Amino acid sequence: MTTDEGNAHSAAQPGVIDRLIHEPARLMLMSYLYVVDGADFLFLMRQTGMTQGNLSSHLSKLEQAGYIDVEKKFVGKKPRTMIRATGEGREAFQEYRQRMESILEESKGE
Amino acid sequence: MMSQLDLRQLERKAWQLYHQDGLVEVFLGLLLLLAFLAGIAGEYRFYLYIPMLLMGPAIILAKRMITVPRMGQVKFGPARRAKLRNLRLLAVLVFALTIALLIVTLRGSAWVREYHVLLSFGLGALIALLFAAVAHWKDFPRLYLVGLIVGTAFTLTELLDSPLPMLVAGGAVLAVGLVILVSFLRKYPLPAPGPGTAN
Repeated sequence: MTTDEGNAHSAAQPGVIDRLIHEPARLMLMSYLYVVDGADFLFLMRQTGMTQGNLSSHLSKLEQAGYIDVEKKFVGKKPRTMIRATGEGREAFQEYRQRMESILEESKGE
Repeated sequence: MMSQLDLRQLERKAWQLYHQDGLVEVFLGLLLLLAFLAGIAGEYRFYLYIPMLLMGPAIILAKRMITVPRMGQVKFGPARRAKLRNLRLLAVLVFALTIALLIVTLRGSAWVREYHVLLSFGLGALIALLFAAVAHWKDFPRLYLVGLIVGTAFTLTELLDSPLPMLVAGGAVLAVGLVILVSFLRKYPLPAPGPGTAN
């Protein structure tokens, strides 16, 4: 189990930052997938500016955590990968945002 | 960090980037040029109405052949789809209004001639207003300016009783569209085949 995966499980604990989402590239991916109903691999690559390898690697981690659903299908003879945030992923992202917002609010008060 | 992460802005950015292809301007420009040609074609103008009617399907086809292979596919959320529903209602309204206007013009009612100047300005304002509504609902700021150009072209065409303003406006809108399209094609070339990049 990688460190990220371990952290993803610890994210379920209240008050703990979900490090799987906290990583900048995955945060960007989760943000995009949170605001749209679904997108394909190319769309995410264009929007985030990531390379194919980098994007694949981050998507795999999010998929392993159950945060996204990756559907691979063929359009004619060509493969197309459609990606959607799962209910669990949306919930985790929402929790992450709330947690970060409360941390920022607390730091303002200090 | 999260304060900078405005999700609404992010969704808007994704939407606008997806529509930075200039295709709308190219087709609107062509439509105005066809309107100009119809104005000078005399009895053959009927043949020009056919390509005009095909502009809608053509833009959808061009989007599928040019934009989607370069930008990928995305399904936007329910808020965006609700805005597009408003747009469809507006399209129905515009269609009904166009038919009504056509009937009134063809019947050559006396009051049309009497209030010609006022009606010319009204027509231009209505067109600009319609474009503004589309620009608002589609989050497409460039359409405000395009609407102003198209509205002015219609008003001047009526006032001068010449299709020349359509040529000028069509040329300008088409040129802007082509510049945006070329820049889009350069910025987003077709991706190299790889995992999940087929379109």
